[in-house]
Amino acid sequence: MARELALLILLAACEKSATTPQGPPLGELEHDRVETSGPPLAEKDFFRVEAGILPACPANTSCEARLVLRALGDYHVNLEYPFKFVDDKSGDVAIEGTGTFAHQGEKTGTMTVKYRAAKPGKAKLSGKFKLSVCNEHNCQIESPQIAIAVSAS
Amino acid sequence: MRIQSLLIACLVTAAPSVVAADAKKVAPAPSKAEVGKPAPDFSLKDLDGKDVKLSSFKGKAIVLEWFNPGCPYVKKSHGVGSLVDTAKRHTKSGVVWLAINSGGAGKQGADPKDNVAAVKEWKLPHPVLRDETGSVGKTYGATNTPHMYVIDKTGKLVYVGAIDNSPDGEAKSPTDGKLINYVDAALEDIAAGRAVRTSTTKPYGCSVKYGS
Repeated sequence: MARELALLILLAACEKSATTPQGPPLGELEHDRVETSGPPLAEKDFFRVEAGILPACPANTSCEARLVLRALGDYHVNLEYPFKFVDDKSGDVAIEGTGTFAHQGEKTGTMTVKYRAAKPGKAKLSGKFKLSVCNEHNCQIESPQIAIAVSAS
Repeated sequence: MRIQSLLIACLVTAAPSVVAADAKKVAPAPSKAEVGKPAPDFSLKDLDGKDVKLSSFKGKAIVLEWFNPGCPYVKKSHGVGSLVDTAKRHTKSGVVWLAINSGGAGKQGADPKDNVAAVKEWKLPHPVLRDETGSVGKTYGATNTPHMYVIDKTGKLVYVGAIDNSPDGEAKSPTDGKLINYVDAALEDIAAGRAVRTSTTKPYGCSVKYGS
């Protein structure tokens, strides 16, 4: 009887380990689906930067653009790196600040850039996006030039 | 009997996941280098093939810098960051500075030519030692490049960790706003005859490209 009980306990433990999920939680995978618009703003084999969908924003108000970083291939976003967007003063909107880089899963991260367009019409938000992605063997640090077309109503 | 059969079947199907889970949980072998204890001795060859033995520098403060000229963090740190001229400043004051490359043959930054070129480009005043087997790196528990170790004049390991508190490698993004060069700070403490105030920090950078 004791032997049977011991075997039952072992069986229960065995089934629990067999069903333990190995991959990331499903919720984390779903977060990788961040919507973007337009062609990539910068791209290499191991990363791509895209613009998030821009909401309509009137001139002379504080607006937000979103940079979306996707790690490609076997690379993942380097969570230990201090991501930054640096205004290069060549755009024609005033950059008012950046948000903290937020990751959505291992492969995607976003950074919000606040800006203000002085007048209605098309304009350009410009700067360098300092980023890093890593794979098992290597980390890459890049500072691609980013230019986002914005439109103020 | 039935329970036994079920158990065997379960073990067979669960084995890969159990092994995989255990593989993830297995901690790396502990290094022999511990802050507060004597730094392990070693002998490695420099880029000219000359033997360099740690214990030959007894009585001097020593900095060990884990190095990989192909690592973007090492490039940034030596190009614009906290390693610019740091070795030069300290070696003038009698500190011994040894860069160690524990990259395995064929790995990023391990080619001696790349190391010779880096010494020239960054005007490094110190030797780069080749640890191709990785034995010294593993003895010291070196995980990143750069990974910094400071040894005091009694041969005791007094600092292990990052070069500074700016994990972009450029010294432009210090955490808490103020840049701290941890090796400068440790050497200052040693020179002043006081205990090193920050003895351990988390290193940042590329992984050391061990051969195996």
